[in-house]
Amino acid sequence: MYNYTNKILFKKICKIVFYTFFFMLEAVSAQDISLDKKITININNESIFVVLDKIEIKENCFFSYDASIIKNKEKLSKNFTNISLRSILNELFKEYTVDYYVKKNVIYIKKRSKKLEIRGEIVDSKGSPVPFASVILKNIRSGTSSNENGRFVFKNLQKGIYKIITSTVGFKTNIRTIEISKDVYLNIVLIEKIESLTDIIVYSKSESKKQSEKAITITSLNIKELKDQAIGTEEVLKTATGVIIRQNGGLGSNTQINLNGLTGNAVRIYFDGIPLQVYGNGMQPNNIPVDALERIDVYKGVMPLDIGTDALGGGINLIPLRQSRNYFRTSYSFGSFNTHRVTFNGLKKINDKIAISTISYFNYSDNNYKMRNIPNLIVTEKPNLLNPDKPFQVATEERINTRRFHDQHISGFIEVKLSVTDLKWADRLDYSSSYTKKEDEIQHGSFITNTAIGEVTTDVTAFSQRIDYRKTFFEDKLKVRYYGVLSHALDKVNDSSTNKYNWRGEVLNLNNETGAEFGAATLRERENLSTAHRFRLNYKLTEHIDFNLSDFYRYTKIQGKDPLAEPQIINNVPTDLNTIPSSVNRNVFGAGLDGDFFEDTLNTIIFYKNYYYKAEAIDIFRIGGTIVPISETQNITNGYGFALKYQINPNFFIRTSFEQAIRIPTETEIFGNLSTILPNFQLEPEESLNWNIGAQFEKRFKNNKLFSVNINGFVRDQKNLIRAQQVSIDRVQFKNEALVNGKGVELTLKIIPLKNLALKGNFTYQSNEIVSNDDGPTGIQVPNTPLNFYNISANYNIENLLKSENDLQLFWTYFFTDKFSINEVTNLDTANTDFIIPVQNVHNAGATYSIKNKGLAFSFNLQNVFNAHVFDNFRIPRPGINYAFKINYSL
Amino acid sequence: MNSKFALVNMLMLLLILTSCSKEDPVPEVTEEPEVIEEPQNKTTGFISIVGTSSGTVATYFEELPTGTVDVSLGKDFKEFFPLDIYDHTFFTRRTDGAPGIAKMVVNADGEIVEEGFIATVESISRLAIKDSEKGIFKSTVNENSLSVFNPTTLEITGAIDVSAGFNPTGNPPSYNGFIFRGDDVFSPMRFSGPNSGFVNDYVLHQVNLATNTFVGDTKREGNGNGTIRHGINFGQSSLDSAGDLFMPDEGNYELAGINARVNKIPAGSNKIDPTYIFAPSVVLNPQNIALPIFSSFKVLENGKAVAIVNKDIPQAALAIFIAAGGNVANLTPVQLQQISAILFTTETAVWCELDLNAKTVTPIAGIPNMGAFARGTIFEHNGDMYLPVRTTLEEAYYKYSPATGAASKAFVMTGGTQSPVFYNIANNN
Repeated sequence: MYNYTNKILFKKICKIVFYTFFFMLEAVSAQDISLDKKITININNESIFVVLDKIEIKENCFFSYDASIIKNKEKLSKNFTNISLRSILNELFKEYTVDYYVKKNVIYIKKRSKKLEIRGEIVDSKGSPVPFASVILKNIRSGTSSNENGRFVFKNLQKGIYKIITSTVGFKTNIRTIEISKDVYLNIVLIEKIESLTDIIVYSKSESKKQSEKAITITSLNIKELKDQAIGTEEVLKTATGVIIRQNGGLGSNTQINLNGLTGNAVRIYFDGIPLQVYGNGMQPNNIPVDALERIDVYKGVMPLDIGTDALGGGINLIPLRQSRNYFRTSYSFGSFNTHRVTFNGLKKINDKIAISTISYFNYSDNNYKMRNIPNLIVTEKPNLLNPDKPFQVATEERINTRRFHDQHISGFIEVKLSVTDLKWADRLDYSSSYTKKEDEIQHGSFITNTAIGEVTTDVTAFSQRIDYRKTFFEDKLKVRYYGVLSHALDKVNDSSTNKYNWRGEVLNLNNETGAEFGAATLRERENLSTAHRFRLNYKLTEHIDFNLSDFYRYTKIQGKDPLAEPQIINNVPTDLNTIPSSVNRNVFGAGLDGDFFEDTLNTIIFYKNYYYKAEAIDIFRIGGTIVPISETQNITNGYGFALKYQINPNFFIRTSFEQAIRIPTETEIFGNLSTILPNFQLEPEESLNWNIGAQFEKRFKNNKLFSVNINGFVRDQKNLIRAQQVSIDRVQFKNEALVNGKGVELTLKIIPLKNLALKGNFTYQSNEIVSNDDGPTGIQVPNTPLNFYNISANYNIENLLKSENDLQLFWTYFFTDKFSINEVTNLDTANTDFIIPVQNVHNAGATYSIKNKGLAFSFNLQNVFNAHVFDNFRIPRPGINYAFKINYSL
Repeated sequence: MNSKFALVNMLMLLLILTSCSKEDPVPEVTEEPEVIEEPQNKTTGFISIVGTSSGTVATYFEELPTGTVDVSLGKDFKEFFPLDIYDHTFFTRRTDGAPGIAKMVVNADGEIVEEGFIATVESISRLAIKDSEKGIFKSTVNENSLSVFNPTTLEITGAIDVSAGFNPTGNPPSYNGFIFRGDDVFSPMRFSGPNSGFVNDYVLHQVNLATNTFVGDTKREGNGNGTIRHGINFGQSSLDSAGDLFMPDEGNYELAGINARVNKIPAGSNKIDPTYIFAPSVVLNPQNIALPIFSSFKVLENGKAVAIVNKDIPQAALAIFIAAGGNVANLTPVQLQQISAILFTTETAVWCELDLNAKTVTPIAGIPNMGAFARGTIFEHNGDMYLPVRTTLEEAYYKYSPATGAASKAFVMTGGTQSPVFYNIANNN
């Protein structure tokens, strides 16, 4: 046995030596052969083996192959004249699945193996995608990185064993070895290097941090870490520099955002890149719970191509929660003023490619918070000395502390999304349907007066469908994304009561002549059909330069009815003008280049935008004829901008950005309101030259300590600002008039002095001065906006409290707002104190106890801890001390 | 060194303290009782009022300004809308925007301050003070009634039921002013709301403050083709020295062929004299059929008055009219709107002196033309009338001497977003 084995071994060795020697000789003597070489060969009823031998002899080459792969033993007959060797082989092996390749003068024929793929997604320990992580197949020295959804792919792989190394900043490197014999899909979970308290101490660059460090000035608020707290989105937004939230009451009340001094229509709010109005105004920052969001991006004056529409002062993009693995999360909170909030979010993977997910919330609040020192009207009867039979009524006013009694808010949102990934024609395709409902009781107008509103209600119902398509082409060089929304909203206003209420909730004994609590009686219903579409394209021109293109189109049609509206005579027919539709088409096109140079230390963005709108509505100037007079207006305007960022060293960067921003006039500004506001079809868009310049220094120390300072200065040079001007005795018209210069400085300071303690401060100083005004005064501040405001927060995390994996997080935030006047005043120090909002100091505090291994978290938030007397928009009182308790459960 | 210095000081102090002996006579001091005078509110000076984009600014001036004055530097209010001035006190809408009436004075420091208020249900747009005990305004707190109040105590003292008055719309009555003749109050009605488009007449209600009763009504009948707009001005500017009341209306703006007129209620009568026909705009230019209106009417002495009278038809408006065949009925809605815009902006009106008896109209020389709808508040100072002049170039007051007929620019106003006006505290106008 032993000898026999040795003999065989000896023969094998001799054979190897022989062949090796032989091939060496051939390698030295033979010429390389090319598959493109054209040869002539005649085949006459010969087997394929014979044909290959003939070629070997003729071309002085060799074929290396396993004879077992050639199953067809039939003989062939064919003449090839001056045909390439590749074509001849293709013909010979057309019925086989083989590959051939050449080394020197040897032509290797091998059975074609199936090309395999490794696909996967990278998530963190909470299931959130980890974008832009490095993924390396060590064996073949091939690498890629995960996309923005944490997904990656390797194609054209052979069967075999691969070592996959996944790494990114802030996470422990993940190494795993797999053997593949078919396509595989991997879930790679990266473990954070440290536990984080808030976004500010995450070693890894969270998406919000990456946004905040872009060339364009963005304040990105990572609210993922705040989702357990019993607060609303507006509370998170308040902590950003330059942002003031203005509400007309409690939860769900009318909200305006003041961003760097600009407010109203100058600041656009988006939900995942689509203007919030498209969803029918049922959603607003103060009724979206934090649970529903991943992060909030606040764009300061300069809007990137892929988000921006027409925003004069910037915009706020609310990014909904994104998960890529199965999860379930629900929360319930209750608190002061009979406030209840429920959220329900989840994702279920049907298989590797299909998932269904939902985001939903429900809010209810009586908003019956107490207001202090409110004027209240009382009507009493008094004897008539001259006519004793006819006593008369007298109105008097008292000052009372009272609770709001007609401010109930109910709102809900549910979105169900079907996601399909990794299709041939789509990397990802989402289809979602959402339903929004919002009902509000209205308690007062813009100001608090001595009477209350007791019966006016509003109601919005909207149904929206959204489709979101993404695909990359040419080895990820070309990325395409399209998303569009179609929504139908119905909003109703009911102001038809003949009653008048005081702040005690009493019906006053009066004859309400108007039949309405505000102005004219109305039972208006409006249908709002809206659709918005955005197409984005990104093409990598070179390794360092990307070309970007974006087009946003929106169409809105509004039509309604109001049985209480005074009809107008058109063609001798009394006509409700609300029944005549108005429509607006808007298109914002943009193109630009993004560049990264000098090893990504210099980032540049340059872009161009084109704004177009066309609007149609009834022209009240021409009412009275025989046809419905419809007027049309349109405008085309251009904008442009750039951004530069230079990373001086890993800890320090400077950046600047600029945009000539445009704001298209609203329908009301162009067409009026069918009564007191006259149309102005010549209205020009508002323009603003927005500059930002800033720097950030961030240094990490041992034991997770951190010091970070970010400073940003801004200048806003606004012209053609649209203001209402009186044009007749009882009519106003919107005109392009004022020129306002805004400027300011924002400072964000983050310090982690101890492992579990994080401190943060956001400081804003801003000035918005009217420098030119057709008729009005100049050199004065735009009213109702503070010059200074800041907030300071502290978070302290106690780990493993009572039990392992049980954490207690304590948090405190202090808000300071300097005094300001709601009137246009030349000097705040000498201004009428009746209209000055005094300095406001508000402290919020709370605690969250997390039982991580059970997915439970309990949070208690106390707002306005010291029961300070605070005000909101136009001196509307805000709640005193109030609380909320929240239970979170997640799987 | 320091201790020696301290010792010297102590010796000096001892010397001073012991220098007066107990026997020295103590002078008796007779203390006069201190009289603390209540700071007096200003009874002279001027207040300017101008709108801003967020409210109103009121500024107190000790002296009448000259040259150019910025009127936007005063005290800011949500609203400062004078309804009447009596005894150097402004009765305004409440300055915080709440419904009601505020009593505003200029205190000794020159600051405009509130002395009290009357709460109402709705914003009050017309009010008049008869004397220190009686004032009148319309409030919905008493249906179909006028409220009577005491301007000193700000107490509501009574209500006058006016439901018996002629009311062509059937809506709750609304008034455009209150003109006193003794205890009688004449009030031109203002029509709005349902059915108001069908009202043609100029209607006055009359009540009596001595008895708090409704007296009756009178009217200028229209021509059935359009509404006669109400017209009245700030303060009691309608009663002449003979006891005749001259009440202006504003005719019709919509080319209905109704001229704005001065309506006369003769002394002793409660009815508009149908035989007294005086249309100043037509008198000034009989061809003025486009917009024959006048405004800012104020009765002076000796049967004279002043007013801004619209004189000319702008050529641009005339061209549109001629293009339509010279027939109002042929004008399309667009052409009507174009004409309306031209009439609103073209400076075709001029300050005039009116002779109410002779029914003559004399333009006052030296004052530039204004838009037909230019309004303003006249005030009197040192026997001269100060007339507001609004042009595309400036907002100014011109001094006009009724005695000499001479007029000259007094001062120019800048600042604010709406037309500024001045009031003379001393003269309550």
